[in-house]
Amino acid sequence: MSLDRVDKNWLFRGQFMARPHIEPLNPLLHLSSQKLTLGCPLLDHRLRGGLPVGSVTEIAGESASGKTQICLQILLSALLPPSRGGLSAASLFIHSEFPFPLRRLRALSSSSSLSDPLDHIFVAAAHSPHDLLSLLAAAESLVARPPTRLPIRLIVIDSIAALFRSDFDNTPSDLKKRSFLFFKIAAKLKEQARRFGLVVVVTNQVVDVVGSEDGPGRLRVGNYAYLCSSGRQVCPALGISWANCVNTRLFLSRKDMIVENNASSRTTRRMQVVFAPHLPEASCEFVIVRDGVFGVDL
Amino acid sequence: MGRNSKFPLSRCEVAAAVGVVASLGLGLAAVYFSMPSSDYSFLKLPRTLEDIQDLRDNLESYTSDYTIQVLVGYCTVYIFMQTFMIPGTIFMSLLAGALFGVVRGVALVVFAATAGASSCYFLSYLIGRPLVFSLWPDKLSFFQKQVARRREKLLNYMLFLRVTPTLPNTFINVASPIVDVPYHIFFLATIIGLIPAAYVTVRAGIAIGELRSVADLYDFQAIATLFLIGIVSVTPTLISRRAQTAWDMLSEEQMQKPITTGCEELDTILGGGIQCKAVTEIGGIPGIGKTQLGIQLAVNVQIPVQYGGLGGKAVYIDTEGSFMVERAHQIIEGCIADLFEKFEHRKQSLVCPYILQPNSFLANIFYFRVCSYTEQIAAVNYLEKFLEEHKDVKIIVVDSITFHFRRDFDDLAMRTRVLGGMSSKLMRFTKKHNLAVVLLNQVTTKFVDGSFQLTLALGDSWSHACTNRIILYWNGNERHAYIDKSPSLRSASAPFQVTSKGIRNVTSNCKRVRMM
Repeated sequence: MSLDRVDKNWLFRGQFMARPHIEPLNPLLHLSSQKLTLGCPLLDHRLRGGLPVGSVTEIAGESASGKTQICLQILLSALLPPSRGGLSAASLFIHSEFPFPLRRLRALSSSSSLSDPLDHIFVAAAHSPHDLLSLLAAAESLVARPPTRLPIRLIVIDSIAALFRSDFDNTPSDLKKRSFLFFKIAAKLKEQARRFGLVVVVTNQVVDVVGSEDGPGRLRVGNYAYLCSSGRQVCPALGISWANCVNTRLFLSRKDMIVENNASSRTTRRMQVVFAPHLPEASCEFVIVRDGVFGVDL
Repeated sequence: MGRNSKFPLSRCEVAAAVGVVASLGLGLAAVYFSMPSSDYSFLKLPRTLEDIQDLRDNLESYTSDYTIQVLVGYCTVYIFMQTFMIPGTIFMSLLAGALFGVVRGVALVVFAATAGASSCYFLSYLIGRPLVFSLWPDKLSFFQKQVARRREKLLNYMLFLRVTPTLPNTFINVASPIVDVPYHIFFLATIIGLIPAAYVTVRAGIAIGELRSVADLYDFQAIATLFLIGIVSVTPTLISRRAQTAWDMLSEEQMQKPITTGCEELDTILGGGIQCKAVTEIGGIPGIGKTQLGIQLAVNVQIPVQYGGLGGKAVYIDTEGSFMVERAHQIIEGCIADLFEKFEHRKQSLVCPYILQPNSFLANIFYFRVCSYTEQIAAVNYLEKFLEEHKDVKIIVVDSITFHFRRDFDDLAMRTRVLGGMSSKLMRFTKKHNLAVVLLNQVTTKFVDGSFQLTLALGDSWSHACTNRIILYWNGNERHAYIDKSPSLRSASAPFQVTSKGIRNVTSNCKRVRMM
């Protein structure tokens, strides 16, 4: 919404008539506490129930760390009824990395007990931030008037980093333009999450941490002084500006360990809570198997 | 709740109660045993005028010989009647006049009445308070609030009630401790306020022979005189040098109290906590605990006055969706648990138990969710009217103030003006309504002199708008808060911790506050 189209005068006269909705907190109790299960009770327990409705959760990790697997899994768990931790809702999956993992989704849905899950998953491709913005604008009407009998209550964006890879250089002015877009996108996502009671999940890539001690990459964000994956120190892409835009950040890491005289390697995967307004520091080991992503108890 | 199952009286209080009853009994026994043997059939509690005349005739001879016994006996009986609310003390006053004359009679009556009223006060405090708390908590807290509002002129009001026959004295004795009238005011009001009524009664007692009924006692002239005295005592509350509402008086009293953050070291460098009448900006990177601190302040502002807090309400403007009700619930439970632990030596609950429930605390946080900068401006404009209607709001938390302004604006000058307008409005609220405004802000990296530096978002257009600025940052593995800008506080930093109960002190090794 550009300022030009709005009558600038009333901003100062304070005659803006739209009264913000004052909500006493008690009726909100059941709406705000609703969570979407990840599909595994152990992972849900670490996240105090799952992914919260009405806020933006980021899952960051290097490639092949399991981000897309978790995203596909929650597309299906959204179809579960609320009594089983789902939302009884359809989902919108916006992907910027290609190709879309249709085969894996089919495999997961066949092993789940739901009927025709693929009918309730909407897929769209985005190639740039402006694509994403126009998709979100179109999605608003989709969410408000769903074509199927189930409303859309989950939006997954996989991944946000890929959208910004090509268009922007490393100059301060481009970075500034980029961060403007972050806030625009985040504000749009949060507004829709709030208005329609959506769960929004965004995946992010990681970049290696290089440079001097005082560089921006060395900045500690959240519960961990540094994040490690595959033996390297990494941090989520898109910098502090994007970190300001999400409510919850989860980090997926992997560590390849050579076992038994180079005969085989075992991959340990870990999910960590980097920051969240409702979660303490927590981490959980998990595995990716044929039926999906599941946490393991050590 | 565990609180109610504990026996409400401490050992001292039980000992005191037992001591009072024992001394009354002892006094009566002493009188009984030291009196000469004779026919004592006339000794009974006076119920009618005839009884008084009877008593007077029979006791007159004793009074000169056994003055002490008669005095002790009289006082004991009077105090006993007052403590246990037995009607008929007016007859005792008449008797005093008949036996001892005006001056000594008035002194005796006032002494006995004050002692009796005091013991009734303590009895009601011990038994009546918990009883009424559990039976009528809403009405009780309403009356308690009314009394708290008039705290400064409470003596005048009490004098009025004592002097005039507006309320029966027994009711005043029983009700005063329940609505938190402090004992020293009660004592003063009683001892001074009973003098006029005692004088009238005692004087009538002298002429007891001529009295035909109690109604003769209080003729129109006497009552009018009492009311005149009462009005004189209450006049100071009506006249003031400048027009002040009761809320102004209460607010001034609370004005000096800052809002605790939950962490003592942080409170120390802040001069007690977040100050009312000031705009405080708190900035930090994601995950450092800004929202946690915001929610903690919205909870701590509600700590009741009796527990050392402000007893106010909070407005929380959430622009990012970071406010999680379940986390607020956790923080509230932690706050209540700590209050009970801190005041454990006070066996009785200082306030109605229903005030210290999580749902009450949640209901006192007025939550606004804004999804765009226009909604944010509208919310701040709306607050103007809202604060007039809700005068007990003592803190406004905006989380975060700049999020919606960090997207691109076609007209940057417009953005600066809008932000400036919003900040001056908020500053006006602090002065006008005597509350604290806490603005949570994000940080950004700025490329300055070849290196990246962390600064608060929209720093240039915003920096003049706040009175105090606090930066939250990581120092190794510990969270620290640093006072970046303040007109009255020294630059200092203090460590704090985010626990499941909320913001608390760092417990491990004793970290001292580091002055810079």
